[in-house]
Amino acid sequence: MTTTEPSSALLQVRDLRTTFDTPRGTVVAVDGVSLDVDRGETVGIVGESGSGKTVLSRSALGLVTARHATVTGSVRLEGEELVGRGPKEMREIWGVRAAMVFQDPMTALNATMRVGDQITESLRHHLDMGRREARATAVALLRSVGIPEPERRIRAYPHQLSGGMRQRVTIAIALACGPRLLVADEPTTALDVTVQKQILDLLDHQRRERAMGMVLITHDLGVVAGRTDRVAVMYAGRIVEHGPTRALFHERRHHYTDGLLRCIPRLSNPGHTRLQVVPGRPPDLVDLPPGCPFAPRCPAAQDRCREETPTLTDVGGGHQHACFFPVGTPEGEEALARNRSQDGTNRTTEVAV
Amino acid sequence: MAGSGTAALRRRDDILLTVEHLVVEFPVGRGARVRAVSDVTFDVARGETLGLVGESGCGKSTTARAIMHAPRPTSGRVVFDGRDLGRLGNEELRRVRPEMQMIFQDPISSLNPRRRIVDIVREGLDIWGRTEGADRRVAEILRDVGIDPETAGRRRPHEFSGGQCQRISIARALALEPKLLICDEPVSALDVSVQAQILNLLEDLKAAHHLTMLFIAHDLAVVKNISDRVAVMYLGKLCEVGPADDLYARPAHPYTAALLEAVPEPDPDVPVPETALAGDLPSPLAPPSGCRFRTRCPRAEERCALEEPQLRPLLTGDGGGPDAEHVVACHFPLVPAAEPAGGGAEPVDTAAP
Repeated sequence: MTTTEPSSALLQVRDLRTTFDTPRGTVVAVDGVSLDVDRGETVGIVGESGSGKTVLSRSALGLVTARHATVTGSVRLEGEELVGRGPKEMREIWGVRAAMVFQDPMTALNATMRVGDQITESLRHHLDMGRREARATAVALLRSVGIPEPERRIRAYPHQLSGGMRQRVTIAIALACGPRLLVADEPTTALDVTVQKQILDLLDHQRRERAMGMVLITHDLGVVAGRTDRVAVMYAGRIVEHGPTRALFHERRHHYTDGLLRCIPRLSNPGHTRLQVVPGRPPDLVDLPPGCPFAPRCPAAQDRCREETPTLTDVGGGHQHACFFPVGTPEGEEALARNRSQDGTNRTTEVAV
Repeated sequence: MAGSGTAALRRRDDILLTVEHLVVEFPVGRGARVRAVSDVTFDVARGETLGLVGESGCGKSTTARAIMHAPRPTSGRVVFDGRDLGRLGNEELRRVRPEMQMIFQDPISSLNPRRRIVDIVREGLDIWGRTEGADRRVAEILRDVGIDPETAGRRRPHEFSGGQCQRISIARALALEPKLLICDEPVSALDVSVQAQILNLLEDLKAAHHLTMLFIAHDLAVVKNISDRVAVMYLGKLCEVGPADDLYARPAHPYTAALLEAVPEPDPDVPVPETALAGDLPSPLAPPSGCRFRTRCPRAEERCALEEPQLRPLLTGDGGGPDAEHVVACHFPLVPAAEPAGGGAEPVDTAAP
């Protein structure tokens, strides 16, 4: 949230902007994002593929190092500026103060190393542990992430473990040096629902036990609903709505948040319920036209939305949105009604994905 | 869970596909064999959508391939539209295959990147010599799935998004006017907004083309939305089969209940359930004796290790007789069930832990 300026925030992101130079032009993947994460809290970042949620988290942790990429703005971890640091200086941050869990545990792990060695590596490097101490710590870590028979598993290679077990190992590696901030980027997307629940429970438990701040990146609003304190919804590289989780679900203001929530098939619906869709697809991030980036897909878009870009405005209680005609307000309802009556006269066909 | 037995078969004369005692084994070296599908029996009526759910590795996709006879199953019978596929020679089988088509999880890798969209969709028609009016047919089917043949037809798969590629895969599958469409995790690689579009499209096409569908997915909410009946699989066996709404309203198998509980609800007011299904799927190389689910089951008793439960009908909610539409393979079901074949209709004492 941008309203308060707490020096106490664990992670403070201000006006972060990440661009990539491509043969087609400059892609603005993250466009002026500000976000705070406090100790002990979980912040969810939600959006479709290509909305910039992964690039945002990677930029914040200095993991965007390609020569054709530019990262500007400010990222402070416990008050210390990270933007502008090279990989060498970031090594004191990575793993020790901020760690990451990735979507695909198989590619995140080194296939040719025993999992024990992958955990002790950072313990020995960062914490100067001896071989024996590091091994004992690794066994304890594996036990704490729920791996049965850790003394034996420590000698296993990643391919000998199931997907859920592998993700537990990557979490053990991330937790090894006691980071203050944990960024989990779609940590359960590749897993079954039953295993997904186990992993989310584990992350939650570890966060509480260690009073870590956590960023949970996902495209699944079901995952963030029960697991986060606050949620930021991203679209086209920007945060379009942000607030306490309950407010965001119950008093959502942005039509994109509304669309995302409406298109989820729910267990409580009877079979064959027609799903509402968000028509169209995310815009090309090269040469984004002026106006609200969601306007071409928005059911309430007016002329103003195509000319002016809405900025995040606070509606109280730390709830912010970037919309001129918000959901659930008289202006928003009026705009929806106006568009609906026009649709009646010139029927627009459903735009393909 | 173990469900063997033929209780899932219905006595109806509009059955399109019957699968009886299906077994699929694969060699795993040194003469050992793994049973990926172990005595599975079910049927699908014309115009019906059967959802098949279960964790990774439970044999869902293997079942689908065995139905297509690609490759032929180890044993068991697949009767499709009155023909026993096991009795057909290779050439006869080839002639049946256009009537059963499949779409896959990864839409981009299931399209040949070097070919144009129109050629991809047209290929089946060319192979079967249905060249007369083929161009018109291809344009028509592309329009049906929401792809504009004029602008998109001459482009290649890499120019399309995942959702569009899935639409093209569906067009290819429907070009030959199949009777049965097998969808193997068709939306799990897609964003929620795109997922809703594809699910709606499949419902529309099913009605327009009089399709019968076998819909495989691990997302229970998605399966409920699209299916008339749902079959739950665990480690190569069926544990429960029933009408979608009934199976979700009163799951009888502890595994079905556990799967349902693990689905995250997109509502912050619904607390995350405490219990989680512990552990991983056991190795199919050495499945547990008796009921295969007993190692993870909260209700397991000694009997479950000794005796494999057979599929048997539940008793109807109003205290009537057995409900042949909803069957379960469990010694201690969550909903009263009829005694297995041979026994009376006495309900099992469900109060037993």
